[in-house]
Amino acid sequence: MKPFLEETFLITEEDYVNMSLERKKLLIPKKNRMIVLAAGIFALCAGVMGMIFLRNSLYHAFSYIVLILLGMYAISYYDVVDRSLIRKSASDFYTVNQKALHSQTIRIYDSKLEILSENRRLRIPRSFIYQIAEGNTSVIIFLDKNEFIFFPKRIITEPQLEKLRAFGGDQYKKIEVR
Amino acid sequence: MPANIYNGEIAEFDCQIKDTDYAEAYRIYDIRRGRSKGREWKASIFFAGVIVVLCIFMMVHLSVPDYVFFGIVMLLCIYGCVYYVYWLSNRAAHRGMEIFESSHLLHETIHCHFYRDYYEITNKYEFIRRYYTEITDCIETPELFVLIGGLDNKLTVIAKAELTDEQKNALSKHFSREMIKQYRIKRK
Repeated sequence: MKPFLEETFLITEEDYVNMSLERKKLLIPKKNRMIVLAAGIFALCAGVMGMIFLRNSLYHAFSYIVLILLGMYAISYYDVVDRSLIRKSASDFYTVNQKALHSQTIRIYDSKLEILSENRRLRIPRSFIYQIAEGNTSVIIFLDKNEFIFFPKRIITEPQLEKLRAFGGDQYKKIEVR
Repeated sequence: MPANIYNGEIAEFDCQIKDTDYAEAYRIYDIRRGRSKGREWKASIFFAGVIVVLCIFMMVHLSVPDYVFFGIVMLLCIYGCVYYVYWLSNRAAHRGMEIFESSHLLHETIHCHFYRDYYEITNKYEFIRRYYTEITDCIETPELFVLIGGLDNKLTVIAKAELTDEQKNALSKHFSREMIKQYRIKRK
């Protein structure tokens, strides 16, 4: 049986950083983002209103300024702060573990998946896959809620990607990334 | 199999972990490398906030709106304390249980082979070789050996219930010698 996808690749730092950002986007529920955004907007508005109408003393002004800053932090947390932190930690992690990275060969058949590298061999049936997530730059295959393997989309063609989407079936998910 | 340092082989055994083993190992991983990392100092910041607000209540004459404001701040600080000291750790164990339930590979019996420089784990579907230089943490508890390392901080969990006393001692001695900085014993 021939695999519909067979590629050998090496993960670059850019691949790893982009995957980390996309994986984080997948793992944080939209509800959480909305709650933090709403709380940030509320704090910002409350702080501004307090500064304009309720400022009686210096420590009141200080409290409202703190509230405004907290509101701005919450509004920008997921889009700016968190992304910067993830980028930095992913880049540092890649730099430290670079020597452990070897080229990998991935083979995906209609009913099974194989990953081969110098220090790892994985051969699992399709039923062992928990989820397949496609971002802008990576495809992340979850073996359970935590463990995953990934490869950059640059190594595969569009027809192979279509077959991968069919392979994923109900467990296939597209990551909405700006 | 007796430990034989001369040819680099330390121990060889089969091991199958339970969901409670993995949950405990994941909780340990979360404390060392995950969201629970640094929970003590984060909780202490919130605790300091509670103390400051209590001092303000005792020493400063406040109006009713100010009491409400500082009351809310104190409640948030108490929530932060409880979150970091208690809830976060329990949530990690619960998440570990969920991960174990969602995984097919973790339910498999693994064959472990520990050598002087690396260890190998084999089951019906997977073969992994990991060098000790990749390990960031090696935690020994009364029930488990937990090795954290490799790309994306992979977790290797060995249940001591499956080992003989000789194997346990050989592994303890080997880890403490090979991974001096990473090795820790957790009594409870």
